[in-house]
Amino acid sequence: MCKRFISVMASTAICIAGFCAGGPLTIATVNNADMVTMQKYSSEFTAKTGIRLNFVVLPENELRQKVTEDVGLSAGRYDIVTIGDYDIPIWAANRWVSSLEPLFKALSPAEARAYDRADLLGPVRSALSYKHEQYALPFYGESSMLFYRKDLFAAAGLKMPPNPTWYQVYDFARRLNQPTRGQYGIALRGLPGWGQNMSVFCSMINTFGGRWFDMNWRPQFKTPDMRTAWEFYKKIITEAGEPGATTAGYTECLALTSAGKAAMWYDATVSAGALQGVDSKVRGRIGYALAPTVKKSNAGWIWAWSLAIESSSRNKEAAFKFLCWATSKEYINLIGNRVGWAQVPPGTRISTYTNPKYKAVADFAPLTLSSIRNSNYNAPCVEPVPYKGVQYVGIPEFQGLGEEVGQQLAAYLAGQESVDAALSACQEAALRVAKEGGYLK
Amino acid sequence: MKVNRSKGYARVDGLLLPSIVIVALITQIPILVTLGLSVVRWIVVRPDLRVSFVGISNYIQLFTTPSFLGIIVNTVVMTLASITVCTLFGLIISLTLNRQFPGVNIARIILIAPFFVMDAVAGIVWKTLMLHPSFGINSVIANLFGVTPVDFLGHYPMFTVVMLVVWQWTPFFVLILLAGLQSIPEEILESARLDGAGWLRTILRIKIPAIANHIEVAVMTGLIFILKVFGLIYVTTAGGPGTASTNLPFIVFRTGFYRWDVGRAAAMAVITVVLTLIFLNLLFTLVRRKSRELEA
Amino acid sequence: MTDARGGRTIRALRSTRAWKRTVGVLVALPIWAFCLAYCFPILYMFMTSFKTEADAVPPRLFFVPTLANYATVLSGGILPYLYNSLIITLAAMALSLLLGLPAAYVIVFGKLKHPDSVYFWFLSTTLMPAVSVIIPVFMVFRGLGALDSRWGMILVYMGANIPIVVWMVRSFLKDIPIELLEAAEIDGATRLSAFFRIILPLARGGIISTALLVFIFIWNEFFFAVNLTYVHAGTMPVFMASYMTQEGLFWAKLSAISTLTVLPPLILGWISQKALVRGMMMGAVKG
Repeated sequence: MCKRFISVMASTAICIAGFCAGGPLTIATVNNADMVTMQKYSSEFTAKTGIRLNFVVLPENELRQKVTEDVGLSAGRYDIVTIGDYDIPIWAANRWVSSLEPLFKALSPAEARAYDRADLLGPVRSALSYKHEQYALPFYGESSMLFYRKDLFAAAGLKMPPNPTWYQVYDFARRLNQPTRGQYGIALRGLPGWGQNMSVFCSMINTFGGRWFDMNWRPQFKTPDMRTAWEFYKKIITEAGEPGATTAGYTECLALTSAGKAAMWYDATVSAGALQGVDSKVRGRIGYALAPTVKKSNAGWIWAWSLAIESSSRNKEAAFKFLCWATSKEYINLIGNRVGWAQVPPGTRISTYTNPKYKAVADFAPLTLSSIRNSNYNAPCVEPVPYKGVQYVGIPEFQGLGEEVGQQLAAYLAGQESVDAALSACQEAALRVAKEGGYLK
Repeated sequence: MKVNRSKGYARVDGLLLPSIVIVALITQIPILVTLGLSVVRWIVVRPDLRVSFVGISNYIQLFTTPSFLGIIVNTVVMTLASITVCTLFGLIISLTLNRQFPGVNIARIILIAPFFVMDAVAGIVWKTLMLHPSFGINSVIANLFGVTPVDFLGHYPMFTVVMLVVWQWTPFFVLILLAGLQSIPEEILESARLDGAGWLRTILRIKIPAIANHIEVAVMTGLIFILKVFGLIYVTTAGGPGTASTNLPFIVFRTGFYRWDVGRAAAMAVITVVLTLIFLNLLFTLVRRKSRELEA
Repeated sequence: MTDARGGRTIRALRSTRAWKRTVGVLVALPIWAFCLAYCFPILYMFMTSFKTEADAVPPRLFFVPTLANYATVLSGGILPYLYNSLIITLAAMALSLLLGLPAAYVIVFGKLKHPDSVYFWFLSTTLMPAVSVIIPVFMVFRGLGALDSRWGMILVYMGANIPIVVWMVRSFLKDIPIELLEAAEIDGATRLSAFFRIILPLARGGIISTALLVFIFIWNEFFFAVNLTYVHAGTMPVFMASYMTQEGLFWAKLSAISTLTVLPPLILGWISQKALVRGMMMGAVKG
């Protein structure tokens, strides 16, 4: 009887506290390992603040569709949305998410010190800003780098320079390519999609000297540099890459590499965690190098899955509390201690990279940090461009344009189209986008 | 007698009306909204470009885009090929399963099982666990014979998509045709046997005409669903490479949810419906005529 | 011609039960093999659900089975989704049958002037693929406050499936000779009692098949479920989507959740197969 009474009182107390603290928050997140972990440990947040959380967990494409529907069709049902640095400037301009500056100003000095905004990595912080105001806090950040099998390289007597060029990589790939033994020289994304093959290939276009549009928004698909990039991509994949490249997205390349079937892999830095994880057969045998370059010295991209607050939310203060908690040093320590230091969300805070516990287990940490610091989100190409973004073009139409170009690339890779036909189609598509979007005057 | 009939009328309308009302409300309102959207220009991610009325320019643009016309052809080819193969396989398989043998019930359930799995999951299973040149059964079999594995989805996208659609929908045909075969009265079959009809003639002259209704419903239903196939394509080829395996629902999706060009997507949807209606009408009249001939 | 005595022996042999059973099994074997081969991808998926992710993708025949995937999936908050799926599917199926059966009856046996037009109208309401109408439906639902609600989902599924019930049941009803109905009417039965006592039992097999199909369509429906629900009304396909990640290895977990999701339809299919066989027996009695 007494126990019952106490538990009823306790739950009432929690409910009242929750009511005062703010209504239940609806959060839309992506279903990657880090965010699923965040969902699991969100009970700590509820215990601390009394704010309840309702999670909606979806794959990236479905998530982006749902949150765009929610804001674009004015349903306004999410409090917190997970979007990337591609989306933030667009959403901020459309007034779909609120600036966090007033909420930061409302923090007490103690809270602000505990959060330590200056600890957030500079490139990531600025990628999530619009007109000098921050609109989202980074949950994890990444760049791109080259993964390679130290053991295979040693056995073949090869040495990977810390700053390889694409031509060196091509050479290594040819030498390590043994398809009859089920081992491929390099794994590269070929699956069509603006977030699939286009991410990897776009950063390659940049370093080969190509660009999507010139300063007057004229499409640049017919330049020699662009053509060289296309031909190179097909060459390296056909001669030393995985078969079925046009169905190989991020997950398939990860599966290939962690099963030991690929000698190299150029992709996101967060893959390092997975390659060191329990499901990987190549744990401890992976080496790291900076994103390969040709004409531009920094080819690595920058991406940050971040948490933002919808403008229509009625629980902004409570939502901001969650944002701060999920991106705080405290959260990183929580994950480090409870799950493992190699599984801590990477690429957000400088303090993570100076933490000895993290450095001890994450041998990929130094190169991840330098990749992020090197990347130039504001000037991604050799020549000046009117847009931002390394592995994408920071305009709303890129979702559609990137899909089309990605499909053309896949058709070219699969041998169903010549490079001229593909480039012409891309040029036309880009021209249409520039005209209809009002960019090209 | 007359009074009875008119009473029957009133009661009859009462039975039909609720379903018509509910279906009309739920399906026709969105269709009207879609019609309305097809004459505007509305790009969700560019709220700065205001929603504006553009008349039929969305439609004109679509009809002058060669890739869109190619997609219409893709859709027709995909649908016709799938329906034909499904009907043939469905007939053969249901005739085979329409007999008593040990474990017949389990065999039937096992055969129909592919239809119970969500189409997106079936697509992922086929793409990665079966057809993948590095991971799938495809690679295992190819290694057994010492040949390089074929990249089905990359090099033969249309063929592979049709194959997957057939794999998933033949059980549906089997289900319906089997129900039909099992309701053929035993006496008809008995008398045919007594008349000394061979198994082929029994099938062609007696069984198939007896299930003409069921064949018609299976073909029409299958047609409508296969025209709408989307999930399978989305997870396997994403409509590619290029637009090789893109069908009308998929291009509507890409236009509406990647380009967020709601107006043009709505125009595509309207064109899809009109084409389907014309196609169905033709088929309907044809089937009507055929079944009347068979019944006679 | 065979010699008389040899022929008789062979015929005698043939009529023995042993012979019949052997032939039965021999005929069944290739059919069984075919069915298993046809279903192989599903069986393989079932097998994969017991592998670790590392063993899942390069195909391995011999592996150490694990229940970890099921543990992960079952502890991921599956219950609300399962509950929603059951409620929404059963309710929508029942209501679709309730409204569609009488409509089919009226089209076949009622004295409508243009039954074929009504039939064709029902057909035409389902031509729009979900991807085309999702934004209009979303807008309408938002206006009605039906977003993320179970009743909203039930309505949508009813609208999509009543026409299916109408077409399918109509074809099964057409097999029933109208003389039976007229005979019953002469005997003084009302339309309603004729419907229940004569038509329903005869069309039982078809109605069961239709119910099963409608169940499967609603149970596996993905697009509306993902787009029109948020937190409260999500169904199993939405839960499964959370395992279709593009950022990690997921095939073993997806196989586990998919195996679980396919169980209810399979069980229902099994039950309905038994019911169908019984229906066949009843059909043989008529006439």
